[in-house]
Amino acid sequence: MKRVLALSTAVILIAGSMAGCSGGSGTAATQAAAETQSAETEAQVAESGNLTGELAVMVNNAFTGMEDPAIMRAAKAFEEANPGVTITIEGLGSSDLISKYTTSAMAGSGPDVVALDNSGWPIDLAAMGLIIPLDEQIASSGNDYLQGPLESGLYEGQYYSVPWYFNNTGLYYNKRILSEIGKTEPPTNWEEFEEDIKLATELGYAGVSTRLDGYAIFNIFFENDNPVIDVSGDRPVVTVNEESGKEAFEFWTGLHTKYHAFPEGMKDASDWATAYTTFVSDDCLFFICGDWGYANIASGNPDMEFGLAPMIQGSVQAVCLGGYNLAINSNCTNPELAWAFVDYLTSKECDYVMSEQGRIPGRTDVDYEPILEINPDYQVFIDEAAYTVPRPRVKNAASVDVKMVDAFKKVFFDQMSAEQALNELETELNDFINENY
Amino acid sequence: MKRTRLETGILYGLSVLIALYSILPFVWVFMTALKSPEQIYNMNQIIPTYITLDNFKQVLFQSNFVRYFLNSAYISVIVTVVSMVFAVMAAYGFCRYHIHGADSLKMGILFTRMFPGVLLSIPYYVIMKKVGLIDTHAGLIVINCSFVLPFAVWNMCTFFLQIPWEIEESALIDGCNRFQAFMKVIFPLAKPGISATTLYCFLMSWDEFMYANTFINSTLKKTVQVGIRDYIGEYSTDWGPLMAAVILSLVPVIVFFIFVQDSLVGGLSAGAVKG
Amino acid sequence: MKQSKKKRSKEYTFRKNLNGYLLIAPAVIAILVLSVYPLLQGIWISFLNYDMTKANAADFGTFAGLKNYMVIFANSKYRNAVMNSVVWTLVNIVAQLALAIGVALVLNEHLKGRGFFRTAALLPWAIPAAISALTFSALYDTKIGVFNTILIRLGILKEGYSFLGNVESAMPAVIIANVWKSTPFLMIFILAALQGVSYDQYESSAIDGAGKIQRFLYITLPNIKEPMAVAVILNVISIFNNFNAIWLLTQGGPLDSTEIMYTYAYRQAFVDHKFGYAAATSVVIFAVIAILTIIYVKMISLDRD
Repeated sequence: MKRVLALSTAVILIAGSMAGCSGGSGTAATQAAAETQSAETEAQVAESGNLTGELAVMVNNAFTGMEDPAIMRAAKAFEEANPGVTITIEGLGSSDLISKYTTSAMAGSGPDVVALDNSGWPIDLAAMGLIIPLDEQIASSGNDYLQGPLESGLYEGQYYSVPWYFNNTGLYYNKRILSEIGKTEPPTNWEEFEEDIKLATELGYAGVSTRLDGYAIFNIFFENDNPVIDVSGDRPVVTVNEESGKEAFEFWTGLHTKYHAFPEGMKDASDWATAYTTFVSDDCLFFICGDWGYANIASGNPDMEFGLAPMIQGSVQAVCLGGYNLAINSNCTNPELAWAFVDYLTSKECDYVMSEQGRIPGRTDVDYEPILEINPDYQVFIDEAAYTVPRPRVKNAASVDVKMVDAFKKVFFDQMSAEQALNELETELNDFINENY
Repeated sequence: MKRTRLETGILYGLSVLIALYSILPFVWVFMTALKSPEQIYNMNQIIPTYITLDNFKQVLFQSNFVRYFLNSAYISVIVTVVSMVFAVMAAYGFCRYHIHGADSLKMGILFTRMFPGVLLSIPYYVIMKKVGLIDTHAGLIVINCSFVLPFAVWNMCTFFLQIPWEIEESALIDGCNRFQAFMKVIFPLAKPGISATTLYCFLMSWDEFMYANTFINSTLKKTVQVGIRDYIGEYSTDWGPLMAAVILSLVPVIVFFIFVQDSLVGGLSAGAVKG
Repeated sequence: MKQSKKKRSKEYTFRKNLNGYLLIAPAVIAILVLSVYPLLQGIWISFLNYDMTKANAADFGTFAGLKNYMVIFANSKYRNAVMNSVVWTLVNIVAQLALAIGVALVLNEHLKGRGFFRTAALLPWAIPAAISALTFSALYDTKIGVFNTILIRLGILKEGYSFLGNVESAMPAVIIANVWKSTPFLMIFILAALQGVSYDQYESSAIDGAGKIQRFLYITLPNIKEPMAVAVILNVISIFNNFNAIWLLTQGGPLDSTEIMYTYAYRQAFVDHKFGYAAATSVVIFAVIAILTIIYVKMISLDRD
């Protein structure tokens, strides 16, 4: 008893001394709200004068890892045009980026501008009150953003982010294997795709590979005009088990049950670096991947000849959207400056930041020449921009991604039939919606 | 105790096996660091056909790696020194004095390590922001001490339990004060335990990633563990420089090992002290 | 020996215990100041409605009683994570302990080049978690991995097998990687403890003609038992809460086969933003380890007296 007393006395003492540090994440949200308000008044004061102040920007390290990164040059140019502005840019790996941003923003701090994966991060952070709506800014901006990428930041009727760059997947194919199965052109629809895979697997090749994430599966559903989760109404509705969803899921999993089309190595492919090896080993006919994979595939096996075609078409033409958006922290003390930089970074002036990296800016008025000069095959991705579809805009969408892949794995691992797996998926997604809405 | 030749042979065999087991998985890292990009991406080429030092040059001269490296060394050394001084003091206090509620206190210290660290990062962030320690090495040192210290105290308490404290008392009778007695007779006996714990403190701090990633924003203040991830991109990994950086980052640790492992010998097993 | 120690320490109690308090004060105060507030905060959140993506909801941040606990206990994925945590921790600690004792005994012998062998044995410990994960995923790779190459050459496998990608093999694979990386900590601890076994005791036993195994069982083991017991506690805490070892290799997959309580809590917090559930899971982790530790420490001290 004495011991307990001693310990609890110590704890109380310490807790008392920590009382000065009240707040904590519990009040962080309200605190943040208060700070935003005061920031707004500050911004109004600054409106009359020139832009001044410091700006911290957090982006994914695909843009900062190399020597003399283009984004640093762009930031420097902005500083020169606006004396009195200092910009610091921090590059982080994507998973480190989102956990760091969430932690620091919840604690009432964090960078002013953040780059967010458009596969659901903007929605999550908007729901958490950690980024600010940008409707007015977007309306007054001279930048004409692409609708699909812009909508990936639409939450409760407001836009919380603007497209920075977008991407989508194409169909990479092994030229040697394609000619071995007697074809000269890559497939354009599901029937041709399935037939090619059938022929290739009969010759002992793997049919198709990709990273084991939601991309490929969302693609198949979207191609069959099924949104996975319909967000057009007041409340999200799970549509995976509707007729079009059943068709899509059975088509995709059928490639395994009928032809064992997916290579064993795809089970390892939890990241892109591993996913490439399944294709560059020169024994797999198709590979579903975006622009980011091009250089790696080319250098992964210089002896292998490969081509790139648009994604196959189902009942409609559609392809799953990827890429990054830019958003402004709700703890940002100078939103005016933050927006000025975001507007600048997504403008035509800064397109070189993207093209030097082989990325495609998320606007309608992009000059594609510099990109096509580097790589003519990129025409495929540019054309696909017209019909790209964002993933279902629900909160915590990363979980939906995991559930989709797990449903596929259940069939891939021969644990259950496609029908069973899809039924379970529907139940899980419904539970998910009930919990979040 | 004399060993037979066979026994010595077996011991050597086992030692070599242990070394291989520890080093072999790492050979891949070494070989990748010595390859050119074409060789790295060519999967059929496991052993480099020609060796290049470009990756090392790039890491040393064209990146902030040396800076990260110095930051980490600085942080880890301070954390180690502070933790060890506090831990040895505390362990001595716990072992040699009657502390009211000592067992509960020790247990309380350990309790702080049982809660998953990821969830502590948000309250920690709030505190660090309040006291103005975000994006400072001082802040990182404080945080690292918070998780290094509990284990260090426990480690030292354990090793102190093994010491035959009678000899300290005989030194006291001989006219030493407590500090002298500790330095002269106890320290040599406790040296292996202190070395092991020092190593532990250093490595815990050196290997820390999560807090370093969360609390440091400025590029030039980053630590090695965070800096190394610059080479691991979202869509591709810069294998060559990454592996070169890993090997370079091991250098101080190995130096530290060699330095410390020397003092792992000793204590009672050296036969210096009669019980 | 024990008798005199007890008597003497009682004398100190009255004479000089103030110095004792002063000696422990810096460490104890530092630890408590740095840890208690975040800890209490974490425990407190586990009793609140704290779904961050419902930050605008009326009940956000209000007291939820045991609701968070009820929700996670009812979740089959949580129960699966508990089972995986048990397997993960038990297999890890047993394998690491056995390996660490063996290696420590070998490296404690006087051999030429012992310094090299010891340094080599410690190397895995010095490798950053992110790098050991990358290394092992390369070793386990279906196409280019060493394990597959060897097994195919030996004729055991016909074609590449995905060790990390299959439900049956993922847990053993992550455990092997973690044993490789974490054993040196335990090893060096035991090695240091072995230095506390007096040479005289070995000498007299050699005279008595005790064999190698008897010597280990009757002299070495009793002498290092206590440090080893503590090392086991510290290690179990580390293993139970070792997030990187799993997350960097499999992220708890495939199909949750390597999901432990910690990765589950992380997922609740940073993927689903349900900080209340995450905190509740963390409190359970905390309680389980705390209770096990208290029982274990009681057992050790009973044993001692």
